[in-house]
Amino acid sequence: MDRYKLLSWSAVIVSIALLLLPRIVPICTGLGAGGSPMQCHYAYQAVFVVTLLAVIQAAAFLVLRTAEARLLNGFVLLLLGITIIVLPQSWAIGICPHGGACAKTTFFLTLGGGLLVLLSAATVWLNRQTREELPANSEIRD
Amino acid sequence: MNLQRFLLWSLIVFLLGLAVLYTGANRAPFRQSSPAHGQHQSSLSNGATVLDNGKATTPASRTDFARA
Repeated sequence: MDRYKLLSWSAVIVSIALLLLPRIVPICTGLGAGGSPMQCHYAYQAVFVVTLLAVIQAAAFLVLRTAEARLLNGFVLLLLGITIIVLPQSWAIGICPHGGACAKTTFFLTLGGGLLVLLSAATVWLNRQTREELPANSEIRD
Repeated sequence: MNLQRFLLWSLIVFLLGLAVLYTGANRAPFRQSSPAHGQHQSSLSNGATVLDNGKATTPASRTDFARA
């Protein structure tokens, strides 16, 4: 198995693990004042949607054939990884101020998100070196 | 797998993910009553009949009796 395939499969596994994280390490399940969910609930609902996109992006590594497409895919996955880390921060959506279960989940989420960023950065680096240049006269015409 | 088939499967996976989000299967279920957010009251105490010196009273009338 070459390095690219190894990185691609690792990115798929990490993103699926991040998708399942709130089931494995649950956030606090209590309700706030007035019976409405607390901000950690909304943060992790948003994280779920972004992680779903990350799973699709990571799986696309296994389908894409050209180095340029892989480069772009890796870059978008890197941005998604950063978004996953940012969403539970207090200056974005945030989690419960008292910490507890939410803080534990956020710790593992930050760890996984960081790993995803590193994996996608490595993929970008691999495909940057083997970038295929189009010939100068191959412009797309309408 | 070609790109067209991958895009179709991605769309299906994404829509399934949104369905999971809608049903709430992606997270642990909420606790209905939390001791941290208000005084816990047992459902058994509501409307229960308390025997007081052999006389059957409800908890509310018992409180009234204590106040008097």
